[in-house]
Amino acid sequence: MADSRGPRLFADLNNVFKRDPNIDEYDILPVLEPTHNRSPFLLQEHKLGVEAWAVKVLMKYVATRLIGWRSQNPLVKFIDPTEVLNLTRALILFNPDNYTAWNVRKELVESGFLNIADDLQFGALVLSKHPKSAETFIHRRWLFQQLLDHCLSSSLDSNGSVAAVPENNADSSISMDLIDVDIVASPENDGLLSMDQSLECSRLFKLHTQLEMRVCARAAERYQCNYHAWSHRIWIIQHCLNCSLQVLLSEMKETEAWNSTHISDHSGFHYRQFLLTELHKRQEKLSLLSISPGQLVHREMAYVCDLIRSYPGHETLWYHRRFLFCFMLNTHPLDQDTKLSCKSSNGFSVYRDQGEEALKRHKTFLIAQELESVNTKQKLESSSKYNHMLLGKYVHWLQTLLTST
Amino acid sequence: MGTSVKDIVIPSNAPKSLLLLKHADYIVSYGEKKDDYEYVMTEYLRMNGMYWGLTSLALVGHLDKMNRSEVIEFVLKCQQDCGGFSCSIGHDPHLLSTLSAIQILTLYDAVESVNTDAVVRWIKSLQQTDGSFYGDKWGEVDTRFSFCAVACLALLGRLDEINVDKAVEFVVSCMNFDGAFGCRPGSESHSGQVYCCVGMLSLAGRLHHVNADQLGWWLCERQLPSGGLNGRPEKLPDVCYSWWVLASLKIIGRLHWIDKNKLVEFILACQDEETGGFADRPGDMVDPFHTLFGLAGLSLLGDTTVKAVNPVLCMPEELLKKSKIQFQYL
Repeated sequence: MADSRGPRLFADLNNVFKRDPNIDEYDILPVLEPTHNRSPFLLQEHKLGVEAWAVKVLMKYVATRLIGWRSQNPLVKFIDPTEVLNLTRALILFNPDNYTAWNVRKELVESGFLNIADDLQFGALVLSKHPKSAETFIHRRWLFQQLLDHCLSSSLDSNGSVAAVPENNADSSISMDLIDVDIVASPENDGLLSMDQSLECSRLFKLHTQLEMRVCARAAERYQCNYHAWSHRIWIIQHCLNCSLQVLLSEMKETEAWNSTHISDHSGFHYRQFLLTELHKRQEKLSLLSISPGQLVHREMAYVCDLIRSYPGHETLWYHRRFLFCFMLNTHPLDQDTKLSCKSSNGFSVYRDQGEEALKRHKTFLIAQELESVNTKQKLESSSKYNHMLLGKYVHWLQTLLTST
Repeated sequence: MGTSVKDIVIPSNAPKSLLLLKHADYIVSYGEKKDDYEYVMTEYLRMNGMYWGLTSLALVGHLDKMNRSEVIEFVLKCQQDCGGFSCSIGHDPHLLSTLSAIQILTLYDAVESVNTDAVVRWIKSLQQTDGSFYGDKWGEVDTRFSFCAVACLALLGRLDEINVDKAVEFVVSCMNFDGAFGCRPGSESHSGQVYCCVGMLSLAGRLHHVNADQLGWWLCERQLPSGGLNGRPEKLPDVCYSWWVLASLKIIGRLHWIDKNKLVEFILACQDEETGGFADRPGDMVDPFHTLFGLAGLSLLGDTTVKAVNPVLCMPEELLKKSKIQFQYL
């Protein structure tokens, strides 16, 4: 049955956003019954509180109206775009995984009625309350894809020099090597109106990419082991920052302090594993900076061993150690040599076999060395029972590596 | 000193036996509540929710408690012009709701009542050159969608309509050093994604890409002292992983690697004795999602009061035996 308070609450919410377009956080207030003469919307210093009873009434109203319009229910035919936009806002604030509502916003972006920057800002607001909302991150990836496409087409228009299609071809996409994610973005810096469209587009793109890293960091902070936030950050690095060397290195540096204070966050540590893997793929460029991937991995191993010593009993740290050890094992210089000798020694299988044999011996040696190191050093150092269990698991895992080598 | 493991303690008064009939009642009554705030808030999951509820009922042998023609009518109304199904009337089509729709129709032996050619055409159109699948026309890529696409086509007997080699290539590119899988290349390993990838490879007959010992070991490490399974390191146990992890282990032939008795104890403790249904953890609110995966988990663990469940498609085995679908197991 329709609740007559719905349209009124909807209008009130829209007025709240008119009064303060820069609301940056919101939540539900545990008020279950309406109080006479008091608005259920509380606005203070860009924070919005909505009384629980009002959320219920509001959701029923906006969902029925928006989806009714979407399904061409004749009772709700004529809705103007502003109302549609406001309906999606109200619905998504409290029902962020309603993908159809997000799709309506995509259509409004496509028709030019909603601008990408505003929609990114709205998504960031949604993430302040729902930091692991999958659909919110999915929508943001779509918005970034729009920005990428705009940049590509405007740079094509301006000089025709960008010939590659960024999708599915990371190495040939727009060069974003100069992006420095350390720079604090300043959205107020608007003195660039005379620039040509292409430069303006790439400036906006850089700005939003920088802001996006912060959106990810905030979401990761609000919800531990936030799969969506970290895999989104990886997507941004891959698709918008082209996995550029500078970005990878700066991200390694940037996240270290965070990881040291979030030793149970497996997603955060996986992010470092992703960065190291990508850095390894670019070892030739890396060597121009006099850095070898080996150095980076050894440094990381020392870092995680140090954390394990300081904070015993954290599965995440032991998993990170597994990754690093595996990485060292499989990227050993000997391994590269063997591959090279395999390539150049067609028909000389004796040499190849010798190379493989040597590599196998070396791997066995490395595993034995690691086993020795955990068995003696760490056993003495760790006093917690759980850490002993984790250590036991690590030892078992190393032994399975030994049998499969 | 020393941090304790992130886990729960099963209360001594938690249920210890399976309340089969109560679960059937719970699902039936859940389907009857319609004008609730909850109903509005979960509408984007309606088709999946119906699949969870109906499959739960089928597994406990009470599918007849639901109105068959009402369900089919709803599903038909959700097929869009493009061929895909939406989660509910007035919503947009998506692969996630399309798989649930096809599964529901298969449960009722009513697949022929929809335009299957259109479904197949739509799914085909979502495959990309790298083999991955978009979830819908807006372009999100995820290994979950690779599973949905392949599972739908297998159920429709039309798997040959897509480029299976490329689809496999993409899924394999999402494998990590630990043998497990993530949502996209470079993403973190996650038990739910593992299930999708392993299930997809089983349907494609390409399980040789999996390092079963390595993956099996990672999956077994998801079991916590309480007996419950988590989805990733340092997360709390949750009944739904009794499905994602267990089904994956079953497919790769490593189910015997976990402590079955302790897991059964954990799953049973997640039942609500009053209302019926399962929750994620003992004492939490029950829902149809955890009810299905609790029942399906018990079935995989050998509880014969629940019907045998197929580990790849999470549907009654007896039903799929009649189809020509090929499942590969290690």
